[in-house]
Amino acid sequence: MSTPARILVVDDEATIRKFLRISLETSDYEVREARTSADALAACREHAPDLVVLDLGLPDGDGVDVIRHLREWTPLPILVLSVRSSEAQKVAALDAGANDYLTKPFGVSELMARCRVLLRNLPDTPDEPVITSGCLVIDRPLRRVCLDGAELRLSPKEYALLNLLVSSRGKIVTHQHLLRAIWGERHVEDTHYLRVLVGHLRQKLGDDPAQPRYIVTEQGVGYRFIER
Amino acid sequence: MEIRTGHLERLLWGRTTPARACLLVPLAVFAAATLAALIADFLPHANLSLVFVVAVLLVAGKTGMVAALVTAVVSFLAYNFFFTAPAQTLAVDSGDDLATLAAFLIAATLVASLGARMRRFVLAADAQAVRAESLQAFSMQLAVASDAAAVAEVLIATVRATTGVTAEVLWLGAAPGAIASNDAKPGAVPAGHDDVVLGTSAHLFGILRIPAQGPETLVQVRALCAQSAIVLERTRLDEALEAARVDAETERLRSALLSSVSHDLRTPLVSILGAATSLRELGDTLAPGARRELQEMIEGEAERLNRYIQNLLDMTRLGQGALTLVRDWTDPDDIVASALARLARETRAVDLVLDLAPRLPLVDVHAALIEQALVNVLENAVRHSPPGGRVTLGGRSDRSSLVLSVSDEGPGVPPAERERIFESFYSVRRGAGESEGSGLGLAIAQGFIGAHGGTIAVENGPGGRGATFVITLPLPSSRAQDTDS
Repeated sequence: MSTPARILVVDDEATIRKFLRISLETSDYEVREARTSADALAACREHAPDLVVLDLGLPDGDGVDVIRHLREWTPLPILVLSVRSSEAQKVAALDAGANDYLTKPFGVSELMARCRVLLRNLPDTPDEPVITSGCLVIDRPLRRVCLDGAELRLSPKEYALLNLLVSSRGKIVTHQHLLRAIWGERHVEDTHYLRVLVGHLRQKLGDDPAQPRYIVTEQGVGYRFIER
Repeated sequence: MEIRTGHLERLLWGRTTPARACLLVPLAVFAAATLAALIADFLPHANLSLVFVVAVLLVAGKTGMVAALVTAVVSFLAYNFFFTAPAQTLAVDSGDDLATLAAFLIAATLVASLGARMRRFVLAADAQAVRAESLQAFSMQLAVASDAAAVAEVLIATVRATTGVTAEVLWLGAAPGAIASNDAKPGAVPAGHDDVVLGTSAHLFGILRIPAQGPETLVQVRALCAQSAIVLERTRLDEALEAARVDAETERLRSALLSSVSHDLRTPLVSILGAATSLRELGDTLAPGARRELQEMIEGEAERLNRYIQNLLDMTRLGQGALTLVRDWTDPDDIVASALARLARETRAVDLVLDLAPRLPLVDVHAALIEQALVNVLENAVRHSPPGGRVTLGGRSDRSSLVLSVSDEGPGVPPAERERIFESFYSVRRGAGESEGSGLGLAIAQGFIGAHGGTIAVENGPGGRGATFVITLPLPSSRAQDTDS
């Protein structure tokens, strides 16, 4: 990358901002800091960052409101940090338009991996015809999926699910998003449909649910396709 | 409303026992006969029957129908025997006398029945008045009954007063208000007893067991029970409401504690883990300055974590009342020095000024606790200071007390919040960039200072800017004076 990507770090804790700044700058990102919702919105307007790392608990308001505000005018990727492990909080942030989240405390390698994914493909790149991940090859124009060279027989819904996860690979895809895309608006609450379908797909991919290679469960929130 | 019965009416309609009624009949007839004999010389003997009619009326009023009729018949015979010709016999000569006797018998019978009916009405009205009175007293006593036991007491007393029956309350299951339950078993009514339900449509509290009674008494007892049940329901709701309030308060404290633990334990951990993983992952690519900053961050945050855990432990000790003071003579300067040493890292961010009077008197305190209180107050001042703001730690004494004060140039504490900031988990959230405290530090400071008989208060800072926390500790001489007086 010729110019370093600009990352805006929004957190009210000075020490957290400090270590984020040190580690992100060491990884050749340009870092700006904001302590409050108001600062964050102002910084986004003035400095046009490529990524926002946003803490949800801010002194002057909920981080979710910041996400909604930003989404009114920009698709810029947002990585949410939250000490709240409540699924509802994560879902609310993702629903509001956040692209991914990280639960505090977290290791810096996790943070870097998420930042890389969010910064790499902006926007999502569904126009990539053939996707390869480990032993898995997905040929999207032909709707063919091969594992270790052998073609897998996937039902239309299984293929749709795999395609959706792969399109946003590395990122979390929420239950609601998947249910809406595969079954339609009326079934956004029927997460058990999804559990069953994911179970079938994992079986065909030879994925052990306890130690998944491809499809990782984000408990209570959604699924994530891991690149290998 | 109270109905007062007049003396004459009382005489006429007052209650009489059956034994006295038996006595009353011959007495009344004898009196009437004597009176009639006395006035027989002055009146035509036909009119003498009126004296007997009065006797019948009196007996009817005093006793009842049967006695009155007996009186009427006996009077008839007496009248016939003594006053109609031929005297001293039951035979009747003249047709006039026969007519008089017949009229007398009819009149006496009518008077007997009328008198008896009036008596019944008066008695009923009397009883009604007594019932109304006792019911009124009953509702007034119920109104002030604060728990189920008091309600039961009032009910039993009123049942005894109105019906003369000794009742017993059997609670169903767990009695309200923690009364020892004597496990009522409905359906198993002992012989010769009646059970009256004590409950509303919403809740069955128990039963009132009374010796078997007539239907009239039962109706009365049921009415009393119904009224008591409403009050029981009220006390039950009161108790439930109070329990809910206590629950809500406990819940509020618990969630405050949880969010405090979640925030204050995890925030330092986030920095520690982040800094540690940065050091490991980024290794040699880190600039030397950055590496040192991360290392210092780990140390500082670990200390912060330790302080917070200490606070939690202190709070627990204060909450459990398990605080025992180990007093010793201590130099206030030493307390200040060790508090400042513990906060060396934090106070770097502010302009710390010491303003201690020379030769402060020794204080007899548990030094570790006073030091912790001072640390908490100082940390609070640093946290609310703008970067580089002045924090002044003052110390002075007068004859009765040692005063330590900590002033900052932060936003200050509004008068309305000056009491509340010493409550557990009360953190004042102010403008942008204010980092939130655990809401424990000042509460602990107050607890520790208070345990020494001292006080802590907050006022405006010097020149009206910021806040000044004033810790006042009594000096031994004044303590001795206190105990003397």
